[in-house]
Amino acid sequence: MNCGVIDMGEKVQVATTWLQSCSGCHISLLDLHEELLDVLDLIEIVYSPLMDIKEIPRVTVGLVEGAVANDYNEEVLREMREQSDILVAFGTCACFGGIPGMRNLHLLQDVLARAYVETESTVDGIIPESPEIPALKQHVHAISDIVKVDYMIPGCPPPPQMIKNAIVALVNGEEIVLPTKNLCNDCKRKHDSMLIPKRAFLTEAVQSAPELDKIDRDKCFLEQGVMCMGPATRTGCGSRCLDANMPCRGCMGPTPDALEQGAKIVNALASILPAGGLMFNEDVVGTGYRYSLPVSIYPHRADDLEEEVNEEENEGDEQ
Amino acid sequence: MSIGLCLCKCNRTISDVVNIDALFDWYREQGIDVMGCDELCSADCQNELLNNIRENEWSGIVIGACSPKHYETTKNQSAILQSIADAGINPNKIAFANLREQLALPNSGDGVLEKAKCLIDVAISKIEHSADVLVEEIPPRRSALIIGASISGVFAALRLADAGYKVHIVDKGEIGDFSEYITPEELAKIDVSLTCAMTPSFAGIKMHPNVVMYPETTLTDVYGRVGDYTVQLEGGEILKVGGIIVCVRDAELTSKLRPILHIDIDSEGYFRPKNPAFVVETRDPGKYLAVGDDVRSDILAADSAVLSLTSILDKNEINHIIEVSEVDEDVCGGCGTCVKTCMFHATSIDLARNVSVTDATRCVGCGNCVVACPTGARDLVRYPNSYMIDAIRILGGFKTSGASPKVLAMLCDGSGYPAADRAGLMGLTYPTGVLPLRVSCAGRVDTQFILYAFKVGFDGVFIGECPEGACHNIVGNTDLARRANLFRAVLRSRAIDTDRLRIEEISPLEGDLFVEAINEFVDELRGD
Repeated sequence: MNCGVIDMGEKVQVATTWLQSCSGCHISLLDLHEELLDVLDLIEIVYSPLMDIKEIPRVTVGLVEGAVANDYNEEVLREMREQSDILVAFGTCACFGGIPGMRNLHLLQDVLARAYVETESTVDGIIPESPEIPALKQHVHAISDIVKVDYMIPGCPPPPQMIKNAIVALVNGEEIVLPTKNLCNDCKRKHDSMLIPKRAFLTEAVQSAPELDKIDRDKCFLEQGVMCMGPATRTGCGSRCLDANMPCRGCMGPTPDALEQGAKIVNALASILPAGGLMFNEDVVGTGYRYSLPVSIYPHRADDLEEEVNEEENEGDEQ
Repeated sequence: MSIGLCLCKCNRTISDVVNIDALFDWYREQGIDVMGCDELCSADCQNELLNNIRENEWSGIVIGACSPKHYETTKNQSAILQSIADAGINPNKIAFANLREQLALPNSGDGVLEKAKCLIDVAISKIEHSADVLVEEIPPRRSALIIGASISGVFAALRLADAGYKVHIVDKGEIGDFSEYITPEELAKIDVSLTCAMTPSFAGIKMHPNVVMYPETTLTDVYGRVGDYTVQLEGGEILKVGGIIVCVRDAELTSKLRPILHIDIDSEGYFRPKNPAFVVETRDPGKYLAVGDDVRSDILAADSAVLSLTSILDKNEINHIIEVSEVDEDVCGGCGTCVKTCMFHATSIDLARNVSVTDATRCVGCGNCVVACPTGARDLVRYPNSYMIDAIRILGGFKTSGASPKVLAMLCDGSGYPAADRAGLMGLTYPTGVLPLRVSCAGRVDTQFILYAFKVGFDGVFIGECPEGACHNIVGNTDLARRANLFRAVLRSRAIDTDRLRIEEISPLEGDLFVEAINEFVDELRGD
């Protein structure tokens, strides 16, 4: 990696930007609270959406939040890549396409028609068309589809501590090392019947979490018949949802050995939970690909002609 | 790593259809050592192959010839696999391109040469993506389990006991009560000499110091490999035996024994041999069937099974190829999905390290856990994930002519693949655009593979699997069905017609049904 270029003597210059996203990853950085001051001792943020600076300066580290959904996103991303020695996909949308990536399940014209014409509150809607407005891309992309990415910090959003650790690692000339196991590795809930070597469904019925009067805080969700994406999801999030007694939704994306998250959770759960689609609340696709559709093996519809993506700089993601 | 390619003309069966000379030149240009032969079955050609392996120090060999099933299921040809291994090639570095049953026989005309290249490239990829398997040598136990104190069971027990083997004979009923195994009508037909043979034989096993009898006993668990099986009886008693002879022909009892013994069954629900020509052999070289149609053939079958078993157990050492599912411990988080999925109780979680482990004595290498593993930490030694994906990519590169659809046919080792072989031998034909890929089991079909097949341009994905209740690995087809039922939603979400995925149950000898199903599928894809 390019870590050798960092001069330990001065503060490391950092640029941040957001593309198609909710700004949550930036908020998570701010959620470091007092610890943010420790980080700012090490780095200087010279460009970010919170600052009124027009041009991206030359920086050592560029943090990119968000997916690429329109031409402007792509332009900013390419410029960010150009100006950064080390480019980091910051958060799940940048890493895997994230929530905005689910747009790929629909044709672009349908999306535009729904948004501008068909919504119930719209009267005489028209689809805006102007050179001033960046055109939506045919598909939403993870940033590694467009440019070479050096590291990723997944999570929706990434926990503040994970962001801090990543920045500190880069400042120290080290690699950002992500955990490679699934969330179950760090789940403190008891799992018993998952460990009994006997072919049988874990439960008689499956239920969506809100239907349950009481979810046992100390017991594996799957063993209670509640869909949990933990098995097919990379750990490292600090299991915040589990601690709040909510099952994993998969925001950290697939583990490094899986080709994709959606097919993997289907393979895994089909024979250990009963009632087929019910376990997915009748939405296999929304459950399995909620955060990672643009990096799926098949990332869009078959009847949706692929646009030309400039592959020159696209050498894929390292992690 | 240097890979050798051996192209067999199969006495013109292959070379009349496939331009072997063109293949020769093509692979030479790729820097691969190529040798040709007229008939790899012949001793001359086999010697030449072995000499080439030694001289060129090949570390992998692709055999472009007839079906690998011939090498794996018939005694005379399996010897060459052992000789190749003895010449220094790891068993996992021997790969086959099935140029006869699945190319020269069913296909002709344009595209045959290109398809041959695809099949050979897939075999090369298998060698490149496969790690060496471990080969263990174990001294076999000189003991046997006989299941069923039937006529053949008693004769088999007597033969083995006389030969010095320790024999355990288990029956769910009384031992010595032949009425369960022989009808009164049949008994009436037996002449006195046979009656005189049966009764003393029965007394013989009761008196024999090498025979232990377990009447009114059922089996609860059997695992292990030829030469070393562990058998658990109802009540918990454990027996250690080198081989097993099954001497019952009762559909109800068979269905109870099948999940314990893991022997394939036929369409009528009886245990079936691995090859119709060798009636006592099963796919497990330590398990034999000894059931005839009448008393005479029962006795013959018992003798044949005993001879087959002792010919192995009398060896000083037996080679075991360890083909288990492996775990990437850096990725496995110990979730237990594999534990719940495995039919054979071969997986468990090492609680101290919180990772999944495989019991090599129980693992049958079917790959169901590899597919189920939500992290991708599990992989199969014999059919690794990276090979499967690369194979689909290679086959996806095949160019069909005109409007002819391109179909990926994933064929299970137990039924789909032998049925396709059978179709070729029956002289039946189907379009060249049907590209076969062997998989260990329907349970090895990862939905990721199906999605990838559509990505690389296949018009349809056909999966040929064992009929319901007859899966080689008991639950592989059940699990594929469950996965596919959920996965169709994924196809729909990508606007891929779910009719482009076809899962067909075929028995291994039903070549005609395979061709019927595949042709119908191709026609549908073409829009006829």
